[in-house]
Amino acid sequence: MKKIIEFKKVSYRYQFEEKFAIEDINLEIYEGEILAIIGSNGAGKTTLIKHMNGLLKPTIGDVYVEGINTKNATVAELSRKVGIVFQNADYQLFAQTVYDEIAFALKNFGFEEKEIKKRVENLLEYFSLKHYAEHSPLLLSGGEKKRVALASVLVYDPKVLVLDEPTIGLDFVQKKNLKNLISDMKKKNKTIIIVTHDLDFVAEIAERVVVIKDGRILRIESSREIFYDEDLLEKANLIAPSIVRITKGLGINEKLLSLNEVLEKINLIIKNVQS
Amino acid sequence: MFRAEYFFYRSKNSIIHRLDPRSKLIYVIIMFILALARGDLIYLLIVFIISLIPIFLGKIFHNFIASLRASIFFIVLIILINYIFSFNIFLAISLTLRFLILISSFIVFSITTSPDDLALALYRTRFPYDFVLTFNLSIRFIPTVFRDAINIIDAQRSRGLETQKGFLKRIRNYLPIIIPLIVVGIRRAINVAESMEARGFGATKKPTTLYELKFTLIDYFFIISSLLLFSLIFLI
Repeated sequence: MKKIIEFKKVSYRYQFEEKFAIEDINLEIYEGEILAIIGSNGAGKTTLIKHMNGLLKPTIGDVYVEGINTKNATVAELSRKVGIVFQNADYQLFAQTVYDEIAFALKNFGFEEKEIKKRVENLLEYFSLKHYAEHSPLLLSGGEKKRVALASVLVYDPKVLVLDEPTIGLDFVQKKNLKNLISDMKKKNKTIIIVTHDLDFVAEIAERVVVIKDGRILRIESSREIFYDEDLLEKANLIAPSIVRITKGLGINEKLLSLNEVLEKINLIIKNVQS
Repeated sequence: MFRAEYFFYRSKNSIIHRLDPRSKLIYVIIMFILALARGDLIYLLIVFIISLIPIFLGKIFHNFIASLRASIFFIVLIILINYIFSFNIFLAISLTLRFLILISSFIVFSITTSPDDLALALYRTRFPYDFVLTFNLSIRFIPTVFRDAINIIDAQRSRGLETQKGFLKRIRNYLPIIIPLIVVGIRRAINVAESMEARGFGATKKPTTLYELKFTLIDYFFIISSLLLFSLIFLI
């Protein structure tokens, strides 16, 4: 697999701060993968992702995005490749209409008007926001605002999409739609990086998981291995996803991660008992 | 990376942090008078060095450096303008020292005084409770607004907004930063107001205060030392 982002011995210390916010980070992120970064509050997750589009430059070490050292590129240049959707949609909504809000980045990147129109309309359709196109984004509901924020990043088609706490404030249906969106992006060979506390969501979609604590990476592994390692989760102040606890509670001695897997296993056990 | 925390109160265990806000206020007033009383270089240099003592005692040297960095533009401006108009480098330096004394003495008050203590001091000096609370909240929310501003700038820069190119472009690009900042601020204010009302704010004109401010021996010592500094005006 092709490497798309690489952290090489990266440490970052905020100005005047004594401690490093992240320390000695070595991480390779590949094209087309779904990676989750998990850890408790203050673990350094947001500091880590802000290095991916150059908002923060490492105090020690280097970050490479498609081979370009982030120290030698502007945030605008890197953002074309790495789109970050921040946790709080209110932090980015300002335009008069939803249409203008989604078109904002394209204007900044100098796209032609015809192309802007095409892309914005496609996304309005995809996110079921067409009837809100001329509404103020500030007056939308929480879930709708999140969709606008997401659309306003997806519109410039970055190769890597970073989602900071994407499930906060989303109801069941919206979470399902987000999951579908991530699957669609995966089909287009996009890299998805999810920073979250929602381990149930991570268990459903992430292929690899990075566990971070006190600014250091504790482990990088497949989600199946991570979520069945009780000691690791306890060390990182995390609780295993519900599906893992159910599997263990049922006494199933396998590392199952989805409802379908658990149901299949239960059916198999019932069939075995019956026969 | 700019961190707002360095410009505002942070709880620390130091003699200066434990002082009554009123004694620190007296110290600040004295230092302001000292800075403005005379303009000769040696005198101002001595006052400046003295003003660093509470900074070290209060363990806020990092904050002082952060304040200096933030005001470097004004410092350069003071030196340049005064030098250009007077061709007197000593005058330019002494005015800069004056400015530094004002900063170093004021941050002793602003960074080591909890907004709660300050509000209580105002309340005890018979300011109306509503006024004290509004004052307290507005101070408390400054770091939060700073943090919001940084997050908003990060979010907009991630969508290709250039905030570092050219003066005019920078001004034009403030709109995507200011609008979310105002909206988030108003929303937070409404939430805080509703949550306060839901917890009985305004039910009584004289709410209970949980603790009292008391002058200790250290306060008296600090005030007397500060008053003694007045003699510097005549001694040097």
